[in-house]
Formats: sequence, C-alpha cells, structure tokens
Amino acid sequence: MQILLVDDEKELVSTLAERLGYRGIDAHWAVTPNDAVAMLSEQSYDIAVLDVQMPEMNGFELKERMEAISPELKFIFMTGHGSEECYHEGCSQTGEAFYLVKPVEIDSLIEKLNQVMHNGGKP
Amino acid sequence: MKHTVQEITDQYGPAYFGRMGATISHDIKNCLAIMNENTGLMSDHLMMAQKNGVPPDIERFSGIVQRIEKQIGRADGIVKSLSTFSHSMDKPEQQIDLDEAVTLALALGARIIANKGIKVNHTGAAGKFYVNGSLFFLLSLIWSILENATETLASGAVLNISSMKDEKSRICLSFQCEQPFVSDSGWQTSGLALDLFQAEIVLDDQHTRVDLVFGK
Repeated sequence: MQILLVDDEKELVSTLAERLGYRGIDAHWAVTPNDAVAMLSEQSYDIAVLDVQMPEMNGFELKERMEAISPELKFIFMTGHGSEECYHEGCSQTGEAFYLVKPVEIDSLIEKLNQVMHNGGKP
Repeated sequence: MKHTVQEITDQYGPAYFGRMGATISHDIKNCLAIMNENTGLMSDHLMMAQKNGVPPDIERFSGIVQRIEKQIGRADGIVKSLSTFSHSMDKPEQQIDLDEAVTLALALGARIIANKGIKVNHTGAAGKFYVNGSLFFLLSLIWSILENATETLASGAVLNISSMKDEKSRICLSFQCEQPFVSDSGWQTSGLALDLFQAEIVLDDQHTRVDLVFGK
C-alpha cells in the first residue's frame, strides 16, 4: 500500500510516515499541496491522507487537483478543524468514516486505510 | 449617534470571539497531534527494543523528547495568547500598548493569514504608543482591517504593518502592501468600534495603504 500524507505540519506527517513504515505501510509525505501534486506526478499512490486547512489551497481543492492526475486515487481527510461546513464538505466527499479529527490513533488510521484500500472506501 | 460598549459587544463580540476560538483550537489540535505521534513513536521504539533485546537508542529518544518539548512550548504560547484574549473584555477601558495589541491580534489569527498565503511584517514604533479603550475591541478592530486587507490580496503578497504618528501627531496604525487592495468597500465594517476609539480608517488613492488613525 502506497500512501501520501499531506499536512503543513512537517513534524506531524514525517513522524506519522515513520510510524506507518514500522507497520509495513510505505508512506511518503508532503507539507504543501503543490509538493503533493508534484510527487503524485512522479509516482502513483493508492491513498492520499489530506489535511483540510493548508496554505496555497485547502484539502478539498487539493483532492480535485490530485484526482485529475490520478483518477484511481482514494482519499481520507484528517483535520484539526471542526467547523460544521468543513465537516459536511469532507463527509460528502469521502464519507463520514473517512473524515478524521486530529489527533488520530495510528491503529484507527490503519483500519481506515485498509477499509479504503479493500472496500473501495466503504466503512 | 453614540453606541454603548454593550451594544457593540452584542453586535461584534461573539463573531470575533468565535472566529478566533476556532482557529486557536485548530492550532492546539495540531500541537496535540504532533505530541501524540511523537509519544507513539517513543512507544514504537521501546517495543522494538524490547522485541530485539537491545537497549533503546538514547540519542533517538532525546530527539523525540526535544520535538515534544518544542510543541509544549508552542502550545503554551498559543494558550497564553488565548488567555490574554479571553481577559480582554475584563476592563471596558484601559491604556493599551498599540504594538502589543497588533502582536496579539496577529498571533491569534496567524493560521487564517498563513492559509491565505499572506506574509505579514509588523514593525513596532521606537517608542510606545498607547490608546485608551477596550482591548477586546481594539483587537477586533485591528483584525477586521487585517482580514479585509488579506481577503483582497493575492497569495504571496507581503503586508507591512507599522505604528507611527501622522502629520497631525495622531497615533496611526498603517497597513501597506505593494499590490493594491482590490476593493475599498468593507473597510468601515467595524464602524461602531471605530466610534469607541474615536478613530477612522483612511485608504490612500493608490489603494496600497490603509491607516487606522486614532483621535479623529
């Protein structure tokens, strides 16, 4: 499973990627949406885990950009932002089960990754 | 017509407080998430060391501890700003250091501004400039100008803020950008708060500078 983690908090994504690596998941990371788009142009990924609130563009806009490059890519949102508007937007795009609020336990994230990977995004 | 502090509080207070509360809680969540991942990473290393029958890598642990300490310091700074903000309504009138108020307003809304891709430089005056009034409404007023300015600027723009005295020796907080602010509408949205400080907002002809002038 190839994962791309995108969040403007570098210490969060780099640590999370390392921990996923210890569990046999090949996770790469980017701290800007533009870096993420560039990485996706170079290599294919199975799932992108996106922060919602980021400089340059938000996670929903980034999802659209990434889908244009890689239509098969699946998504999970992981956010510290709890607004109703974001929640409904995120849930409408990925389903409620895949709109995660930080901090996220790694076992819970892996369970979601497996669900997305094997059940086509259905919880 | 002169408005009371209570009338202005009722009209603007909850919206500003809510907006800042939302962005601060987001920042704190990020600190917690990073600490959560780093404590998890320590746990992972302990389990691996135990499994392999080797002592944990002390140097690695030390690096992780430093990262956690950094986030504790960051969260402490955020909570201090939140605390000052929460007490900003305690006194309806006080003497306020203008540059300290700008620093606090920027700290509170840092994420919102960063998400718009705007860089803000704040240059404090050599001496101190004080204005009298409610800290909460001064913060709200500064924020309304900041938000209005950043809304109209393109990502990558640099907004310079500085305090000074104008040619009439009035205290003035200046917001300047090389790009013009797109629109001149919306600058008077906090008109009631302007009344409280007997202040006015002045937009220059090129639309590259907005001044908040006290003592109109």
